[in-house]
Amino acid sequence: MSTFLQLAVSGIALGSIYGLIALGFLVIYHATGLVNFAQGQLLMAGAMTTYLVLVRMGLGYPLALFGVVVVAIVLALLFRYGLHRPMVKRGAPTTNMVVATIAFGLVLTALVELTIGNTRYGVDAVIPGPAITIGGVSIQTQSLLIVVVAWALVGAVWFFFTKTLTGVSLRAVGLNRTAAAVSGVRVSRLITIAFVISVLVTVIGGMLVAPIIGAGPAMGLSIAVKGFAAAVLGGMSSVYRGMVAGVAIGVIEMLSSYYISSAWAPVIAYAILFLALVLMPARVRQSGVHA
Amino acid sequence: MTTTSLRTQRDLARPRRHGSRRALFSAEIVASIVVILLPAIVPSAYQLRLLQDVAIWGVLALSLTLVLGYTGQISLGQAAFYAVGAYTAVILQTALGVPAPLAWIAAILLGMALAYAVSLPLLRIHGHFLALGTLALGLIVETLLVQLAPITGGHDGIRIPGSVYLGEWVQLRFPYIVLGVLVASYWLVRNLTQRSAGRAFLALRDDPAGAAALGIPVARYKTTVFMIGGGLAATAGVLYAHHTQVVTPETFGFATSIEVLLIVVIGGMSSRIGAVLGAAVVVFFPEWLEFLQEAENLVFGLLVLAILLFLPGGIVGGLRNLVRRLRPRRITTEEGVS
Amino acid sequence: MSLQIRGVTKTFGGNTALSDVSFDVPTGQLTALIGPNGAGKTTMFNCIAGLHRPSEGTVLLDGRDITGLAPAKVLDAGIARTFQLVRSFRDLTVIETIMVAGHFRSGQRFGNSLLALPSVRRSDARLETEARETLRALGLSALADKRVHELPYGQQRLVEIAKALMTGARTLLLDEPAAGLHPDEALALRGILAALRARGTTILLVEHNMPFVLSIADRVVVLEFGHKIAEGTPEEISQDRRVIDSYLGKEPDVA
Repeated sequence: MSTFLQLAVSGIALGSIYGLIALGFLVIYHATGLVNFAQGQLLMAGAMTTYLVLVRMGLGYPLALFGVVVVAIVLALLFRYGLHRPMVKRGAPTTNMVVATIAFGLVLTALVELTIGNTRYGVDAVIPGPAITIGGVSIQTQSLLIVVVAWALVGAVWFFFTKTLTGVSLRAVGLNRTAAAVSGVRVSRLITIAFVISVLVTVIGGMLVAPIIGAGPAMGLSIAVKGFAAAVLGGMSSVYRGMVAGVAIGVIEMLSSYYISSAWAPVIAYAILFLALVLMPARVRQSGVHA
Repeated sequence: MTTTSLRTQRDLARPRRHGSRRALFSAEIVASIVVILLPAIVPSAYQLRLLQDVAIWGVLALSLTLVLGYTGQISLGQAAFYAVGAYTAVILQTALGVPAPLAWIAAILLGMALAYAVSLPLLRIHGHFLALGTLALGLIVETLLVQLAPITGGHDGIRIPGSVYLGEWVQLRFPYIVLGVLVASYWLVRNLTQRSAGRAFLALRDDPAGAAALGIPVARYKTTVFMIGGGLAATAGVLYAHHTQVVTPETFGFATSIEVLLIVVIGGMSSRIGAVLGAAVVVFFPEWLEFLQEAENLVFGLLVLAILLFLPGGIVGGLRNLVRRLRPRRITTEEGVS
Repeated sequence: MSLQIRGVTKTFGGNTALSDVSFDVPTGQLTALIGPNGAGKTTMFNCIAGLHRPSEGTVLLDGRDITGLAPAKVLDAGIARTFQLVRSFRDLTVIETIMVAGHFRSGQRFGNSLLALPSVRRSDARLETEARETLRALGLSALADKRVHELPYGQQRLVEIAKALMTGARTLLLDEPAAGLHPDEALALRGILAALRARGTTILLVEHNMPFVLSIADRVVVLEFGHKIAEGTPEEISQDRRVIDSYLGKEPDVA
């Protein structure tokens, strides 16, 4: 039983990261209709920055957080003004946007490989030290931190979207861009804000998960895919449902990893994504973002 | 508005169209013959290997040209069918002793069957979501290749030495087969896309509802084209297996699906020549530019971003625009009710 | 070919878009379907063309029941429709776009295309001839090699009509063909529609442009809130009390 709980706890932590990816995914998707295939690489950027600041430069977590935020903003702005806006201006079709995000991610990965290296690096947890034991289940402090921070971020984003003028305007943009523009909303700036939020959340997810699974250039893809699965499974609109779906995927992954085999676990997540996509009713994709 | 002016209009149009069409046809025939005879001319074995790499990527890229360039289905999972083709051919020959030609046919048919089976549920999703769905598919196959180790040989894969399974004579002349298949694939895609069917594909790519209103069977065309694309990818897989004489899972991962995507973007998404050109670029540039080899992904990623921003039609698209701009304007007579 | 609409009702959830609508579209005549916004005109179109299935009632083509047939089958039966929003095929020229409209009856399939049989070449030559003829009839010959999205709006609408013509359908459903046209373009359109009618084509069109309708229609059917409130000649309609109150008496829409 305690093994089961142990696995469940790890699953919840990992799944919360998937939920963060789902969050980032949904924020951009609802503001712009874009699926950001580079999200995994953005998570990786967060993890690698953390590694750089923490291990290579030997500075502490506060500076790592600072570095991560800076990287997030830089990447978001680069993506938005260097890629997204020019392509939207040219009326680029969906296909081109998909390829563009993939290429962006590819470039990011390549840069990291060339400048830092090609292996998985270890990163210390925020609160170093032994795991806490509650009722026979040992919980790593990092896992606790992940869950707390991830859900806090989701709550913050939800608050932003429902209680702040900027957030509500952003939802309006997502639902009906023309109407929003006509009522005086600065659409372009809001979309940039959406990008920044999405990237920030994703990058922080990278920082959070690095101590658990390490930081390496290739880490992003499978996590991102599971995050996408969480978003789709959660019905594409609710950020909370995305988190819950993410946690569910994480728990299933951990359990199947132990009881079946660690290699089959990813297949289950990919299959969930495929089935969720194919079975998802069309109107679900159109609805705006909400809690 | 007189009948003579009408005839002038038609005469202006027809000989030019026929002329340029005939010229293109001749060029394609000549190029095909030259390509098939290349192994005899190419000096070094190393260059011959590169040429075959181009051909195999070319066939794989042609599959995406059909599926993506012509019917607008964003497939990030072509590597899955590539793998099915390669592994099926290899397993049938090595484990079950099936003779090569039969194994190849079976491999291609299996690729087509899988593609068709998958295309049906995929009909319900479009654009980004279709891309995600095919991505999931590709990842599933990639993982299965490693996990079903008893069948697939796991990480080590399976060796298929040509001397044993094809015979020395055939293995030595395999480059002719590879290039021959490239040419055949090119002609297959060409025939399928050059007349009304090709226009219908482009129509359903850009406006499925509008195309359906004109009687085009959108769903049937999409699934059939997806199936043919799967078959082409599987064919590339068969070629690859015998070209390298080994199959391992790394070759058939998401990175490969991305590379095919980059190839068609570089060459030109709805262009058959573009598929081959893009393959040539991807294979030869790292060879010609030494420093590229370290930063291959970086350079190609940046190249693709530049192309998407400044030259979305790829190399072929860019050339076509150039030709259109340089060609003198035709003077056509104004006719009809006005 | 004539259309008979009998008792068509269409509800979407709780909303009744059409309520027991019946009218005739006689062979070789131009019938106009008019009414204020939300009257159900486009829904009626969609019910005939197969995009919606009527909740009740029947649609008959020359007495043959075509209610609820899929759009492709409706096209086979001989009815083509245009859309209000111009949809263009990005990579195709005007003439190629028109030729696409003939694809479904061209006989070109995967099999014979793949083998590049001579029948394919002949079929394509026929398609091109027909397409050029269609373009000429609409005065669009000079635009054959342009991309549709490069054309001015009025000409794009004409391309839409050319597509419908190229399907070979004897009955056309035209959704606001005169919308957004300059007066001289509308005049040209009138001439084209008259020529089509002279050839025996049956036309049903939805329009807001009242002078246009009154100048070209043989019959007018008026809808309001999903009900038919009048049917008759343009003269009768323009004097019908109910119609004047409901529609003609209102401020004209900005064309």
